[in-house]
Amino acid sequence: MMIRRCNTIRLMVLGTLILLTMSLGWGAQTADCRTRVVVAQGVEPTRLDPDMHRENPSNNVILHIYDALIERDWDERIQPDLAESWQIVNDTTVEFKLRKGIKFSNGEPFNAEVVKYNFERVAGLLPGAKKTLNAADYKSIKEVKVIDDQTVQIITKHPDPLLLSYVAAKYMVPVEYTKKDNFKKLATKPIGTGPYVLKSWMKGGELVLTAKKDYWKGAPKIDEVVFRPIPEDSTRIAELKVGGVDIIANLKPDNIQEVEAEKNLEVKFVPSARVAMLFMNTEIDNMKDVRVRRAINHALDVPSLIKNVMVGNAYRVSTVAPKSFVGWDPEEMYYSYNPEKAKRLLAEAGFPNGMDATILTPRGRYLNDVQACEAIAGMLAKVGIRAKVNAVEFGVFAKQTQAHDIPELMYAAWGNNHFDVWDTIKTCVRSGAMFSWYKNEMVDENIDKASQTIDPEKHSRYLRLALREMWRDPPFGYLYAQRDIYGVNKRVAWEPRSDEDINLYGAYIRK
Amino acid sequence: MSGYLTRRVVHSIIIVIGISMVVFLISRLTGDPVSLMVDFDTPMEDREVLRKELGLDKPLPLQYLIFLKGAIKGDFGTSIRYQEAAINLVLQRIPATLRLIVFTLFWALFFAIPIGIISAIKRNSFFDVLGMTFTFLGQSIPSFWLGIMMIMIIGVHFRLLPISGYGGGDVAHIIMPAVTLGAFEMASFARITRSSMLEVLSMDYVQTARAKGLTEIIVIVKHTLRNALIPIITIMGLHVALLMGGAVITEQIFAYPGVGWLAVQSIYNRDFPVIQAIVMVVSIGVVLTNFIIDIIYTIIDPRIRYDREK
Amino acid sequence: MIEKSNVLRKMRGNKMVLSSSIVLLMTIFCGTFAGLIVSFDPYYQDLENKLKPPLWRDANNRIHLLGTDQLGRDVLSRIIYGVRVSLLIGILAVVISALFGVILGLISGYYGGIFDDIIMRIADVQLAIPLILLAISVIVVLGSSIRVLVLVIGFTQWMAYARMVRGETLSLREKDFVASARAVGANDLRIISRYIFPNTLSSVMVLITLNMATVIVLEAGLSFLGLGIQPPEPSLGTMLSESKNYLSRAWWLSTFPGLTIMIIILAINLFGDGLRDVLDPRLENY
Repeated sequence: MMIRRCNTIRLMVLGTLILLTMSLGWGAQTADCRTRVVVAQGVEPTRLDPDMHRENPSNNVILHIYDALIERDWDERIQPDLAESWQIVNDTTVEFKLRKGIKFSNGEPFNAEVVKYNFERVAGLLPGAKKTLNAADYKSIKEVKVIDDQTVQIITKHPDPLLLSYVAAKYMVPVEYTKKDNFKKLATKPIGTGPYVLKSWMKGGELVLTAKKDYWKGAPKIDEVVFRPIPEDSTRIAELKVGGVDIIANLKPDNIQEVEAEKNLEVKFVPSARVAMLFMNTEIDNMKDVRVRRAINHALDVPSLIKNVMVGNAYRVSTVAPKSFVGWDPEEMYYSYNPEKAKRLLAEAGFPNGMDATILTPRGRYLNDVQACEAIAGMLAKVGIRAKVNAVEFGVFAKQTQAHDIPELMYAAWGNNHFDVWDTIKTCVRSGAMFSWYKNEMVDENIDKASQTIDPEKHSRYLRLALREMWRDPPFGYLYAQRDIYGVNKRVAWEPRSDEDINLYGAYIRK
Repeated sequence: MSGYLTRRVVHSIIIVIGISMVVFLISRLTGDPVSLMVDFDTPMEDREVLRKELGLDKPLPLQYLIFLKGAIKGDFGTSIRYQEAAINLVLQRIPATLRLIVFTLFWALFFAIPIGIISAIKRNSFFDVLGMTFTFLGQSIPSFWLGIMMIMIIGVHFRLLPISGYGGGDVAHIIMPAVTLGAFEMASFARITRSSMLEVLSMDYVQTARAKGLTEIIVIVKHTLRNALIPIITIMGLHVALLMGGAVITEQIFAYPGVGWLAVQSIYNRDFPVIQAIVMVVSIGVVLTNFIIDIIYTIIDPRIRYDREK
Repeated sequence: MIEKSNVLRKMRGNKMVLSSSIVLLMTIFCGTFAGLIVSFDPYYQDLENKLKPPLWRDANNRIHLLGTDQLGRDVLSRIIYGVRVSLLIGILAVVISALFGVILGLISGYYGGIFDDIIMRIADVQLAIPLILLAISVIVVLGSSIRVLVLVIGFTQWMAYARMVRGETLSLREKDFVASARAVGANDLRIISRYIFPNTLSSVMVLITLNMATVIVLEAGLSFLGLGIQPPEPSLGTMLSESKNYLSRAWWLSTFPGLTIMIIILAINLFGDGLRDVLDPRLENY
């Protein structure tokens, strides 16, 4: 009896071992002459439907699969893409001339009807279609008119200075393919006109794109682009070092040295569109007095922050527009670092013994966000503002800020995909706007005037006036614009972009 | 035997119901479960619709039944981030985690048992002291530190193993995660094996076998090994639960596409429906493991069953 | 039952227990008098002098024994403060678990029947849910603070105590001295508190020491995930988490906090083991 049971156990153990080893391969890989580039991101894409996501990691995959009517080049200037030309008919109408003979990867043709279908979807004008996540960007669209097969007009309800920017962000999806199941399959089985198609996607693992040899602009030079999600910074860098991945984004300044030290790696910099700002909540009594807010600006030693927290990877901005933005003011003025003056201003405003304050910041969302806030808290403490840092997960941060609930101070590195400061200040400064805890009538007036014209001259002028008043009556502690840092394997000839897109069309493998 | 089995089945069902209650109550801790289930800018009307669906105006016990009905069907809501059914996300990633756990248990036992046995036989020798030091260390190192150190030393410095990812499911990619995950388990198993062996070695029938002149090896294999392994099998369910928990951190470090990493991601995204689904699925898995072990027990040795019942 | 003098003598004799108790006493000393021992303010940032290696002297000729971190803070001082936080959470959580678990175990073992069934099933439920997942769920909902951490960890460790005390109570309640106490007219409460509970104490103490180690690792793990202690509060887990990004540049940022955790846990384990060997070797398999 006992011996039989012994054997049973032995058999079970043996069986398990065999199953185990069979299920695990031995890692044999066939040699592949195809060129391959691996990009590591912090998270994996959510969906590959271009109108149903709101984050960079998804966008980086999507931009390889789809095209838009127009696109931004590496200098962020707008260039033709699926549209070969366009003209501004009047303040509310833009007409696009489309290229001929372009097909989606499932054979469907690309034409004016497709454009109409796409913009109606995001403008909420397509019956039966679910509201898209980017709908807010396109709510100014009144109608889309098909003039002929190759000509289409987009008509807005009122002048929208950012219309072209939004059009550049709208990727074209096929009509028949998506009509069949109301866009459901598109999320995991995307079909576009772009240079790559989706080959495979293991959730949580590799997402593989293969090149389209007959792409209308010319076949891409890199056969396979792979996206891998790796959440840990240190693991990403380790993989870059051993050649497991070729490109990583969001390299921390403190890690620049170790990447540069590797012979086969290099660090690439690009000016970012993100501007770090210390929001001041003027709805709270303590922050109402302009002297308090000027005092805070005088208390911030921005050069020190740039040098030590950002390790030189930022450049100071006088307000919230770096040089690349529409509305940038060439006459830049900075608040001097002057703790004594800060203390004096605070006393004048009625706070001789300083005050308490909390700085809300997300954790790990922006480059060195928590370290910057800790440093800022230290600087504020030196002038009597006893600041505490409340670092929360980004999800919580987003929830709180959207609920308009922030403490005295908040740190955010505000992105701007349109390279027009109007986009930032209409959301963060105009009184009554979602992320504005400030009110200044002159600023409001200028922002509104800038909203009402597509004329680039007038538009910039109003913006400059608004920024000057904002400097005098600050809604923010002014900090710096960031520099994006990428770690790249030298075998890949690729350049990063200010809009944080990782675009490998045009990149190639160096021999 | 069938009486015992039915009793175990009933117990397991009660436990699963208990788990569902815990999960249900946690979601009610804030007072507004809907805020946990939707995106922060979801308009009020959509929230009201969800509120009606969850029956939040009804008495708590009724709400629980509604939740339970959904849970049995596998419906834990829609992931806020992925806009997909939470349960699908979980089921997609469970196989990878299961592989990791099985492989971890395999290597932990593979090393722990011989170490434990030899330490017991050669008690207080140099080997024993070495083995015991080793196990103490194994139980004291935080696993995330071990993982990061391994990546740095074995992965980057010596380039011996691939650092992260699934790699098509091959052995090389699973070694470091498994070692990181299983260090603590291995140490535990070694110690338990050792003390269990010590106990068994001192028993009468072993002395008799020795006196009869049978060689040491036969003595060990025939009479002692099986009983010595019993304590390990007893706590296997507990260790599976521990491993599931440990996998959360390990998968994060090694970018291993399993359920643990999904759990961490869901924390960062405050994606509560997914967290709910994970807790339920994993806990049920543990209960199932315990149940299966009990069945294995009754097959191996009905006597033990009676002992455990006391 | 073992007399106190015997216990102390046996423990003094065992070298491992002796050295581990010394380490533990030092740890507790650090934790209690942290403010007095440190030579630097653990919160003070000195951005100009960040990431300096161990044994580095600053401009005032004060020596940073273990170097500075990414914001120029003294590593040794932060470790000492971190030890205090870990100990605080450890002790509080363990006290809650022990209290909760012992009481439930006594009830379960003494009264048996339906109480036993219910309590043991609840224990099974909690054992089935991996602690980290439970902690994650609660912290997502309630946010992370020392209070939430202590409560979550505290209310999820009671099962081991309950099971063990229950087992002991089961055997103790059949013993003669309990029967005679009942004959004399003692009520249940008196019996439990005067006769049964004191006899479980030695096992409970062993479990408490071993549980402390688990709790400290747990807190470190949660801080590593960003769910535990928030900056700028120092905690060993947070320090380890932050050090991840400086591994090749500043090895001391991860090595010393890691070693600290390891040494403390090692000491607790050795001490607990020694205690167990001395008090009741039967508990080996717990």
